Amino acid sequence: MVKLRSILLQICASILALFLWGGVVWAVETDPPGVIPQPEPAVGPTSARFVPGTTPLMISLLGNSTPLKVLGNETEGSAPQLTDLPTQLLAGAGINYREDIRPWVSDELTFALTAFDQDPGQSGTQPGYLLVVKTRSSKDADAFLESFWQRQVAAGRILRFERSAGVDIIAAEVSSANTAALLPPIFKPIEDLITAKVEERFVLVANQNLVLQQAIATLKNPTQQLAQQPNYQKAIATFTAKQPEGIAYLNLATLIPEITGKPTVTVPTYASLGVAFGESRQGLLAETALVANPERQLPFVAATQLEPQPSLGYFPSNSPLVVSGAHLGKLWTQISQDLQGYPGIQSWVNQALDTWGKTRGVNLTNKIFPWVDGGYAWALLPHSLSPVLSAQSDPDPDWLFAYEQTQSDPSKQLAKYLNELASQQDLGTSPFELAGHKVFAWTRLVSEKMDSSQGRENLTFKTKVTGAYADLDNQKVLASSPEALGLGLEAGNGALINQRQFQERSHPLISRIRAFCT
Amino acid sequence: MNATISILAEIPEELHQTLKGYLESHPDWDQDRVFSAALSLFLLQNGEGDRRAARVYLDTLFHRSVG
Repeated sequence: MVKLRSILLQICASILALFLWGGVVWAVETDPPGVIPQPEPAVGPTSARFVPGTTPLMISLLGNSTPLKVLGNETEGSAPQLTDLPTQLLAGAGINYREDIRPWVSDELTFALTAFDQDPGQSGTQPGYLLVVKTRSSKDADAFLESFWQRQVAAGRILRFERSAGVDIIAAEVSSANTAALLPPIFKPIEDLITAKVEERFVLVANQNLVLQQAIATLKNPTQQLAQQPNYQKAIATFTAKQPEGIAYLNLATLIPEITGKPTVTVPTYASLGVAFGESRQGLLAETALVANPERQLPFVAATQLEPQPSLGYFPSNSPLVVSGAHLGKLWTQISQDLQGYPGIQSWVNQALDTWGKTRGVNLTNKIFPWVDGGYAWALLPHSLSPVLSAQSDPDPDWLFAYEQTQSDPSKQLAKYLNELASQQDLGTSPFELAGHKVFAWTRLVSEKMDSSQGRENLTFKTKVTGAYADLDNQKVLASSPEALGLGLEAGNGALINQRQFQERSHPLISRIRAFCT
Repeated sequence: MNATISILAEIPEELHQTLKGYLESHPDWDQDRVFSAALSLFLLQNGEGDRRAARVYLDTLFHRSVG
C-alpha cells in the first residue's frame, strides 16, 4: 500500500534541498509589513479561487498534462508522489478516482488541505479537504454528479440533500475502515463526502459541509482567496514555465509544525513554498520558489555563479535529486541557523546526517562540509546499482559527490581526512580502469571459513568494495559504488550539465530541484 | 425507461399558484418533474432513506425525464 508519509518526507527533503542550492538569491522577498496589498487579478489556476487564503497545502494539475491524465493510475509498489494525495484519500473512502471522477475532468483539478482541524469544537481533529474539478461544460458537470451519486446509491450509501445559497448540495457518509493506519497523522480518513456544482463548470467535493460552505463563500469574497494572497502571487509570478503541468503551494509556517509535530520557536525564515512542475525527458522537473517571512531578514550568501558547476559533467541526467553550489561550509553554517525556525526539519536533517555518517564512520557536518570551499555537487541516483547495496534488505540508493580540489588548506585537509578515514576503517585502495579513466575502489578483505573434505577448516577471501573515487582534472568524484562511478564517468553528452533544459533554467533567481519520480 | 404512474392529488390553491409561478420562471422544470422531485425528497427526508427515492431525486435534479 502506498505510504503517504514518504510524500511528506519528500516535502521536507525538497525544502532542505532548496536550502542547499544556494541561498538568498532564489528566495522571494515579501512586501514590508504595514503595506496593505491590493487585490490583483488572480493568477494561476482558476479553480484556486475556491481555496481560502489560510490553506496550508494546495495542489493543482493543469492543462492537457500527463499528470492530470494518469492521476489514479498509480500502481502498487510505485513511489508515492505528492500528486497522489487526493486519490489516496478518496480511495480510503471507497471512491475510485479513475472511474468516478477522472472521466469528467477538463483541464484543471485542484486539491486543497484547507485546515488541519476544520471544526475545533468537535472531538478529534477534522482536517478539511477540498477537491475542485473543472468540467468541460455545465452539462458535463451535471452528468458527473449524477453518475457519481447514482453509483453511491447503488453502493448502498444514504444520501442527504440540501439547498444553500442557490446551490444544490448532496452528501453521504462514507466508511473508511482500516485506512487510518495508512495515512500520516495529519491526514485523517474521509468520513463524509459532500458535493456541489458552482459556476456551471466547477464541481466541488469536500469532506465536511463547513469546507464546502467556506469554498463557496471564498469564491464570493476575492480578498479571502489564496489566489489573492501576496505570498502566493509572488511565488507563482517567479515561475518561468508558461504552461506548467501542475502547481503546488505550501504554507510552511502552518504545514511544517503539523508534519513534524514540533511547534516553531523562532520565526522561520521562509513563509511559503511554491512549486511548478512539468515533464521533461529526464522525468518530472520542478521549479520552486520560497517566499521569505517579512519578519525575518534574509541571510546573506554570495550569489551563486550563473554557470552550473563543472562537476555536474559527471552526473547522469536522470538523477532524481541533484544539489550543487559553492562554499559548502559557509552554506551549512547558514542553513543550520535558518533551520532553527523549523525545529522538526532541523531534527530530521541532523538525525539523518548523523545516522548516515555513523554507519560509514564519516563526520559530515564537522569534517566534510567545512572543508569543501570550492564548487560541489551531490546527486542521488535512481536506483541501487551496486550488487552489494542491492543485496541489503533496505538498500540505499547510490549517490555521487563531486567537489573542486583547490590548493587551499581546507581542501588539503579534506584529502588527508579521507585517506585517514579509509585507513581507520581498514580499507585498502585498489586502482582499476573504468570508462577509460584510472579510478580507485575502497576495498576490504573479508575472510570466510570453508569446511574441507579432510575435516579441516579452510579460509577463503573475498574483496568487499565499499565505494569508489576518481581524480578528474581538478574534481574529486566520490561514489557509493564502482557502478555509480561508472555511470557518472560515462555520462558524456547525457550528463546533466549538457542538458539544454538544465542550462536554460540554471538561473540564480530561481531554485531548481528535480522532484522525486518513479 | 422507468414506468410511470398518474396520481390525482388535491393541493391547496396557494400552493398551486406558487407552483405555476415557479414553472413560468423556470422553463427547464415541468409539473411532472417538480412533483417527482418534491415527493422523492420528502420521502428521503422523512422516510427511511429508500434507495429508489434517492435515484428518482437524482434523476429529477439533473434534468432526466421522469418517464
